[in-house]
Amino acid sequence: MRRVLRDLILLYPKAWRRRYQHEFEALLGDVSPSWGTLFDVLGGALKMQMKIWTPGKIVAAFALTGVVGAAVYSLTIPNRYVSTAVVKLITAPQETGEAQAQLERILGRASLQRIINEQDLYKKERTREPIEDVIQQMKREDIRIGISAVPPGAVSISFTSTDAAQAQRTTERLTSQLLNADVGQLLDAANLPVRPASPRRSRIIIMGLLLGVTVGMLFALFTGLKVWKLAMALGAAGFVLCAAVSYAVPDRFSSTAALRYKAEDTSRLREMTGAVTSSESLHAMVVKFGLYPNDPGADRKLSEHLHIQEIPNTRAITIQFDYPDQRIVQRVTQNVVSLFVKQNWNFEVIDAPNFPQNPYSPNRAVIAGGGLFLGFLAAVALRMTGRSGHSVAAGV
Amino acid sequence: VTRNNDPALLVLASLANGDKHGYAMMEDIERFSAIKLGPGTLYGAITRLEESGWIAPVPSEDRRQPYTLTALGRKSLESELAALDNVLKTALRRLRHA
Repeated sequence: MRRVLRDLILLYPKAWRRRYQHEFEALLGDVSPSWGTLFDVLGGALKMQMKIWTPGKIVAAFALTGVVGAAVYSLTIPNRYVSTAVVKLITAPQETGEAQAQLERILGRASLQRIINEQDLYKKERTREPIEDVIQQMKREDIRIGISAVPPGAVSISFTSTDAAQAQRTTERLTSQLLNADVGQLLDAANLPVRPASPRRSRIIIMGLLLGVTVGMLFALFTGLKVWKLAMALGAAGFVLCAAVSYAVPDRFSSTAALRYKAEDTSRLREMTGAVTSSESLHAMVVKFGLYPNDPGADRKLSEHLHIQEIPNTRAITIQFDYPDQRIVQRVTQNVVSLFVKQNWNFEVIDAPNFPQNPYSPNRAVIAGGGLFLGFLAAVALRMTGRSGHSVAAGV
Repeated sequence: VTRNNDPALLVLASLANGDKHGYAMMEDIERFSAIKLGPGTLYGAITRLEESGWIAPVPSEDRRQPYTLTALGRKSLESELAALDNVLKTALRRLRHA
């Protein structure tokens, strides 16, 4: 340990070593070596180095730290593999109801619980959470059922797992329910994923690099301008102020549903959408759900927040509504879905309206981070315009 | 150069009663303040204080380099201690009257 301590002196700047190396070695020979002493000498070397570093060196050091930190962090995230199968649903009118029922059955509680038990999924989660929560997590995070544009009428079924073989087995199991009910035809069997879909380590490392460069630039700037105290004070004030403002902004939730038009001729789709979003229909929804209370422009606001869009080449439409109340947002979306389905317009529900667990807006972390950054900028601006009398008292 | 409880202030206080080398300062500081300074921290403070002209090395044949308080350092220490003394007395007075 004593030898390691002596070797650490080499980390101090050359000019410092010329003046202090011999006496510092003598001191290290007197003290009892320990891990605390080792870190203290390392810290001392770093401080001495930073005193003489140019801004470029500071930024490079922070960037390197960011890259190494991000690389280490990315290694702690387990790999996640996605296996996907594609099934073409049988679209004969008398069978589409059965196909939809099977899709809903796949995502039903009984079906998913059976698959969880068979495949021994979520071992850890099942020991500490009720099975209902585990099923919800499976539906929300790991199963994806999407509309495939090519060929029309095809659905892709994916499952994500930390085990590639398990992802494939579970996707096969989910798909087999459609195939066994004779409502779909297998176009592409569940693949065995070779490469993980996440985490994207290169992206994490690039983020670490960018963060390191940004922090390094701020550090070099604050040190050069000697505005550390002012920057910290204004940054903290900006952070707190913007965080407080973000909490004054009401949450907004969004619910989305997807429908598929079963008839071949899609020329009437626009006309049907127009009927659902007619002023009478919108007004009826405003009254029924008590939307935008005391707002004379409620009907107009509903038309602004309700989005019905065709997905090109799929004969499918998505319905999306956003509102400050998470229960109402789902009920209104469900109501719009009902308007399409109950009119006998030949629509089927592919994706029922979701209940939004979290608001999509405001993004409080980004707002508070913006406040912090603005505080930093204000400190630099004040210093550069000479309005700040602050200096670093112990900056020697 | 110094702040309350700053290693530099502790080094100045240690040198107030005579010249000392690094290890002697570490032992002395631990004795009077119960703060154990590491060698890296101690030499960080010594470097700052010497650059500011508050302490100076004393010629010595030994590998251990003793330091002495300069006139500027003594004056600065006195002014720091006066400020600290004011804080101390005010706090004690307020505690007694609370």
